[in-house]
Amino acid sequence: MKDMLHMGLFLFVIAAVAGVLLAYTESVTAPLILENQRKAEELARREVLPNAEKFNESQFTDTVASQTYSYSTGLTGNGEIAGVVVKVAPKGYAGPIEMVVGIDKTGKINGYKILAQKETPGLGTKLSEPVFAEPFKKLISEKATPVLLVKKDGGDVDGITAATISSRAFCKGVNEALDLFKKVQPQLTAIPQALPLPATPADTASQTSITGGNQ
Amino acid sequence: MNRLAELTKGIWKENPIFVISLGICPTLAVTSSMTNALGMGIAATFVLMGSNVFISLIRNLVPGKIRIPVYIMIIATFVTMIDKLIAAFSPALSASLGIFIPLIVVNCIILGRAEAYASKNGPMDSLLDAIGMGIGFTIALSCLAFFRELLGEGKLYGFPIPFFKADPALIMIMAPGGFMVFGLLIALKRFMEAKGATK
Amino acid sequence: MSASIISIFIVAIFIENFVLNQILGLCPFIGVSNKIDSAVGMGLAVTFVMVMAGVATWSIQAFLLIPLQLEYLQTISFILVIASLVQFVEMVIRKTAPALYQSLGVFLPLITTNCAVLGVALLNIKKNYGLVESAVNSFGGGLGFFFALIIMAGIRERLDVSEIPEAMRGAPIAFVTAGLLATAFMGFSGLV
Repeated sequence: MKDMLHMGLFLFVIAAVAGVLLAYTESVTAPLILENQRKAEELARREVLPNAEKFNESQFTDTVASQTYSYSTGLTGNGEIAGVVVKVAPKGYAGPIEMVVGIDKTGKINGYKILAQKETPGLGTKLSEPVFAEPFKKLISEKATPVLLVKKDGGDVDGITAATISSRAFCKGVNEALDLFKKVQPQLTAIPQALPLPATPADTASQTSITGGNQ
Repeated sequence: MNRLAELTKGIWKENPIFVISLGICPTLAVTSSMTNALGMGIAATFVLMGSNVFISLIRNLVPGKIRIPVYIMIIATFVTMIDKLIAAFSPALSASLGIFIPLIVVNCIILGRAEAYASKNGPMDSLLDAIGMGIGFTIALSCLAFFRELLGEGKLYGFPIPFFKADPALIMIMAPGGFMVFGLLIALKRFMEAKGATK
Repeated sequence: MSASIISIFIVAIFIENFVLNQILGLCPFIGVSNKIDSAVGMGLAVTFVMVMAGVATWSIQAFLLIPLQLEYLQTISFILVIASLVQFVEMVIRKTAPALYQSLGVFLPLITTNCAVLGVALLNIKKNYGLVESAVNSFGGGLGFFFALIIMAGIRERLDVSEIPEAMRGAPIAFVTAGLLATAFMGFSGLV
């Protein structure tokens, strides 16, 4: 009986010490980790929409399908809408391909960035490499209304050899982003009036909260 | 006791991976690149150092019957701390190692050293044992990653290597390549030792 | 809804097979795959523990850690839950099937340090699965482990009687074989 008490007490002490140590570590690292995530997101957004200086989290509710989508609106230095950044995750060959697509205010694709993927190394993963990215960039800058399907399916996109599924998934993702853009386009022009510069966090009109920015 | 021997035994003679075959899951999973291998090696070494020293300090206080749960709790604490620190200071490494950092908890090397060494020896020796085993682990990981990254991507630490860059054998950085390179490396070590013994 | 459940199940068994694709749970995979009998026992025990652990850890995460904002205790609480579950399974098997207990011997306590078990618990949370999805994913993962173990045991029983160079005998040839098996399993990706 005394033995049991001793063991229980010992476990308790160890657990308490562990808890305190972890709580301390957490309190030190949690803000840094959040900051890292924010920075990574900010970086990705800037990359796909370079002429935006500030991003606002926005939401769009499709009343017909009763679904809510999130996107972020990019604003230029003087508060004009630069475009939107949409996060999509089309299903690739071996799981979802998480990516962000930047679309400027005219509905033209500005850039994309793959955030996470599980495609076959060296084949599907080429989506994030210049081999695929450069021709795609060229396509969207040269052609006004490119058909965003792989060439095999009658589109304009140069798919990756031996990774058709990944390439198709990519096109699907980009098209999803464009569809969402078309839906939110009317809403876009309404937002900036509600958001005077410089924006403050208190400014949360119309489901819009401010994150990031150039502090 | 010879302190130097304490430190070096983990590197070749009792190398945790190639000889005792402990902790092989992370070995195969994270060795697709040298950078990951080094990151994992360092993370595991720090956990090992922390747990070995701490367990050695309390070795005479722990009631025998509950020593394993106590060890596991101590190890899990250090692992979580390392996990958070990596996420805070090196987000890229944290992203590429993913759940393999929390999985250090079940890396048999750590619990194995706690049970086999730290619970019987003083803190100083346990620290040296941890450093030696950690280095051995890191070297073993790097060995595997060397072949896999070189053959599978034609790179080392992300830098392209001229000859190998041309037409890399992708399978080497996927799961099957890990299994095969590891099997062949163990065989190579055994072969070298057998040769040494017959001389 | 049900379609996604089935796809989680198939993916867990074949595409993201714990052993051959995710490279988790190798210690028992190499250690117990000598004989088909013990492979079956180990596979069943792991599957059982994985489902229990998947459900238990998901509940802890959802009902304790998140409401109390103690997510940083995730690793420590998960491993303790798994360790107690394994202890429980060990007791049950010892009482109900002494023969099985003898053949599994030292490997039962080792399920605690089987990274596939903690792995499935962590992945369930990471992938934002609900309770049912977690249970299905854990079950599929366990079955995948079970299949891989049995296929491997079948091959290794043959390997035992073949002539293999001295240095390759035992673990090395087992790993090379596992590599070939993993290559075969790669054919499953793209299935769903």
